[in-house]
Formats: sequence, structure tokens, C-alpha cells
Amino acid sequence: MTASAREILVMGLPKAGKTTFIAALWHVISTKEIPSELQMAELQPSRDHLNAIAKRWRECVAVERTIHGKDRKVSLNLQTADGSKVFRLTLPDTSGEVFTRIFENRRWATSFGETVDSSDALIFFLHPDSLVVPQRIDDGVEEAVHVMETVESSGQETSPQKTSNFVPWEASRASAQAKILDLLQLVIRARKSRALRIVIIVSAWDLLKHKRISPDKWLAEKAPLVWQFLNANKEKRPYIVYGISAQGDDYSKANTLREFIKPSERIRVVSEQESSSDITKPLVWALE
Amino acid sequence: MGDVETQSSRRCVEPGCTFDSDGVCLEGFPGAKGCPYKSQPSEGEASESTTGPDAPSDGWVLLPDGYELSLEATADITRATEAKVIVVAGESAAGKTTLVTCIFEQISEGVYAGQQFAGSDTVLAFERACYPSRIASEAEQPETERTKRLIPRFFHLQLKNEAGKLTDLLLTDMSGEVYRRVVDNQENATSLGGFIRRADFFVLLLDGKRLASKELRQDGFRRGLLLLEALLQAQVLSKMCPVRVLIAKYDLLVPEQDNENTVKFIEYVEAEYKKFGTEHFSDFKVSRISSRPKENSSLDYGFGVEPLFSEWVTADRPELNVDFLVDVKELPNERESINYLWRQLGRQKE
Repeated sequence: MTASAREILVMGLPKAGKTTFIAALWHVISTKEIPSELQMAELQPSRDHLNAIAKRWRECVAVERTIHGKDRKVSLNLQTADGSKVFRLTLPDTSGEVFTRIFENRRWATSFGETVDSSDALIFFLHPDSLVVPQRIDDGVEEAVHVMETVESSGQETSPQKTSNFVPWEASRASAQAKILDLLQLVIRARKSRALRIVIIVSAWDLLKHKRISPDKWLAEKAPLVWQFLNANKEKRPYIVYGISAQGDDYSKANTLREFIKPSERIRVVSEQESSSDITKPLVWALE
Repeated sequence: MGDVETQSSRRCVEPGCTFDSDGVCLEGFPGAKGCPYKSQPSEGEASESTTGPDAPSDGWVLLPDGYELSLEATADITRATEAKVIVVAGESAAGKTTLVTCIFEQISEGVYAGQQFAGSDTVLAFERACYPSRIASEAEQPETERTKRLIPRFFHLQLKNEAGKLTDLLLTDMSGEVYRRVVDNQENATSLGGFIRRADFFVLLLDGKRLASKELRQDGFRRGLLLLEALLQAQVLSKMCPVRVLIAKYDLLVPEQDNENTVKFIEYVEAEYKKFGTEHFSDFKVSRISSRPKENSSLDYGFGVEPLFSEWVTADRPELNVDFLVDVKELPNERESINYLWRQLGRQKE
């Protein structure tokens, strides 16, 4: 059977979990230690980067983030579990700083533009800690007044700190959701009216598991602008939100994580419908 | 795909800006330092030898800048969709930009007035306008940076209602100084141009702070009427165009905050505007808003804004047989703009 060449554009701001995801993905498909919807069809010739990052993942040591200027394209030979479809999948493992600079400098390399154009789908990573909701000063004032009243009523002294140094505007001061929205819009516009399947991966989902909220609802709550944009455009650009813990938990609990007989089982992949350890599910959805 | 430009290109890309020829930054940044339209070399950029999407060996694709759109760039939107043009007018500090930021802040928090956010070509412009009123700016008080530009620029929002209908809104962003000049000189009214003729709504803000001052209120009130009269006489503003007069910063005028005399004066102002509006326009309303009420106000954030916004989006467009581009040709020093890249990158026409 001839493998069809497929490419997925991988994006995300710094520390969004892109490399950790790829490390865990390579472990799952190369070891075949748990059932997964996509499996390795055959070993690809170049594996040094994948093996290096997967080694750190297995050791429960933080995977080194992709350094700006050492961006790579990872190629994987995959097939569906029933063997009916074979893919040669390319995933660019690009430094998050690159996307920060694209947002701030308003330009990308011609070769990146070609990748945008040729990709079948987009996976956008975001880390929950990066989504700081901007607070208006009037909201903050109300909150501060409330805190001061509470402190005063308890008889304690207080000396409110006033901030006086206005920090001038630059693009880097935009809210996190505006940056994500803008990057998504740039890709969509560059592809003109062509369809695109979009996977949003909320990484480090273990940080949010206690909230008992679906990844889609979490996105609607924390990045309403992005969520509305995705919803409003979903006919031509269907999207799905996954919450993924590729590490399994914080590495401060590495000793517990290392007790997993099958490391693949520490992965959590959560969507609106289901929860499993199969990290290939987002790829399957993207490649439909 | 878009233009390819090399590292050496660091010219000002704002349409109408003459910085490259005379050193005057249209945005008012001294020496264009910090101006988002004038790309600056970043530290170490010259010695960079890396590869990747933002450090290529094969050239650059310039992307749309994300700031306010020029008239030329809006033509792309007005021709592709049934865009609504909302002219937000008023003298300096009346609250024009604060009104726009209020709308963006509200929709940034979720569906607003039954409209879902479907996209924007001016995300950075909104973020820049909202920034001084956010804690991230470390400002002591919520502020809005005054618009300095004397030629029209536009904020853009694409919205989708529950039935799936898409609407593009273009909200003007222009200095109050322009409107001051119109009030003072009829020639300025005539030359203001057809972007007002193209308006689906003409929104005039009256500065509530001035109306609250017994010293300033008569002038503030009368100058708004003069502005309408000047634009009518110049045939820039059509009698068929819906006009909304907004008593802005109403938090400074609410009865419990002020005396009976001010309350009576506001009622008089509203009556006088209604009288003028009924005589001269087919659709004229006066309302009270407070986009960003002051601390401890009894009014909520965005008081009175939601019904306005809803009306702008949902109202049927009046038949206006005016080509938006007529004025583009008249603009001085207008040249290829980075905003054109929206077109080159392919605007969605769905």
C-alpha cells in the first residue's frame, strides 16, 4: 500500500507543550505498549531527535524546549489500527519563540508560508498557565477597595501600593488570547477559503483535572474570543479541543510517575466525549 | 501569497505617513521610535544565522499589521460583505475610543448582544486601545489614549448571530480635532469626505464631563448641534442616515451624583437635540451611555452600549449609492499599504 503524504502544522506560544507531546507520541507509537488508533507502519530513517526527546520523557525529566533556530520537521510513518490507511506524517517541531516573533514582527519565512499552505490540518498548543485573562483597572480597583475594606474592618493597618509607571504599549503586551486568535487568523487567511481542520490542545491538563470541566468549556471560559472565533468558523474549519497531559503529572511527582509499568499509561487525553491514554487521537481527528 | 521583503526593508508602512520623506510620524511617535508601523531592527537581528519561520534564508512574507485599517483596506471588506460603517464622531475626549474599547472588552468576555465574535482584521488595534485601561499597563487610572490621526482609520469586527448571519462592522477612529475643525470652518466640513456619506450610522458623542460643568456645558452642547448642521449643509451627512446622539460619561450626570440644575439641563439638551433631529433627519435618537463608569458609580460597565451595538449590527442597511473608494483616490500620499496584504493573503468571502 502506498503511503499518502500528510502534513500537520504545529503551532503554539513558548512552553505550550509541543515537544513533550511529540516525545510522548513517539514513545506510544514506537513501543506499541498500549493500543492506539494510529500505529507505526515502519521506522523512518531519521530518529535521533525523536529518540532523544522520548528518552527524557521516559525518565520523567523535562523535555528540552525546542531552541529558536533549531527548528525541525519530524516525519513519522503511520498506519491506522486496521492497516487500511498508511500515512507519512510530517510535524514541524518549531520553537514557540518563533510564533511570538511572527506575532510581534508581522512576518514569516516564505518556507513557513509554504508549510501553512500545504498542511492538511493545524494543531495549536496552549498551556493553561499562559492564558492570563487581562484585568481592567476598574475591575482591579473594585477588588482592591474590597480588600482594603476587609483589612480595615479587621483593624489592621494598610498602606496601599500605588503603581505609577505606565508601561508603553508594544505588541508583546497584547493579551494571550489575542495572540492566539491573531496567529489562528493569520494561518486561516493565508490559506484563503480552503478548509482546515483545527485541533486545540490544552497541555498540562493534569493541572485542570480537579475542575471537572471539559476542555471545550474550559477554552470558552478562559479564552472566549478564541472560542467564539472557532465556533463561528467551524463549518469550513471544524475544530476540536483536547486536554492532554503528555507527562501524566507534574515532574515534581516523577517518582510516582516512574512506577508506571507502561509509561504510555500515564498520558491523559481528554475530549468532550472521552478520556483515554491514546495520544494519537488528535492526529486521527486531524487527518479525517 | 504575499510580498516577499528582505531584512533591509524598514520603512514606515502606514498609509499616508510621510515619515520616510520628512521625518514626521503620523502616529505622533517622536522619531517614529516605538511606532508599530515603522519596523525596527531587533537586538542581534543582523547577526542572526538561524533558520526557521522567522529567520529565513528564503525571504519574508509580510503579514497584515493588525492595526486600524485604512480606507483602501476597508474596501476589501465593504466589497466582500455587507459591512456596516459606523462613524463615531465627537470632539476630543468625548469618549469615542472608549466606546470602541468597551465593545471589544465586552465581546472578549463572551457572546455580546447575541453576537458571536467571528474575526477581526484589527486585533492589535483593539488591544492597543484597551491596553491603558488594563492592569498590565500599570497605569493608576483607567485611561484611553487619544486618537491623533486626522485621516480616517477603522476598527473591524466580524460578527455572527444565532441564525448564522455574518456582519462586518467598521468603526471609525479619528481625532476629535477633525470634528473641532469642521465646527469652526465649513470648508473642513465639505472636505471631510465621503466616508461619512457611506455611514450606516452616524454616532455623535457629547462629552458628559463638559455637560456636567456649568462653565463648559453650553459650549459643549451647542458645538454638537453645529457639527450636525455643518455636515448637513456640506451634504456630507445624509438626512437619510440614522443619527444617534449619545450623552457620554453619563456616570458623571446621574441624579444622585449631581444637583437638580444639571438634571434639568440634560433634559433640555436632549429635548433640543430631538427637536433638531426630528426636523432634519428621518431616524434620530438620543440616548445616555457610560462606556467605563468611574469608580463607585451605580452604573455598570458599558451602561447603554449593548442596545446601540445590537442596533448597529442588526439594522437593515439603507440604500446608499456611494462608492467607498471615491475618497481613497483623493487621499494625499496614499500608497501601497501593509493592509493590502489582507487582500493578497486572501480575504474569506463566505
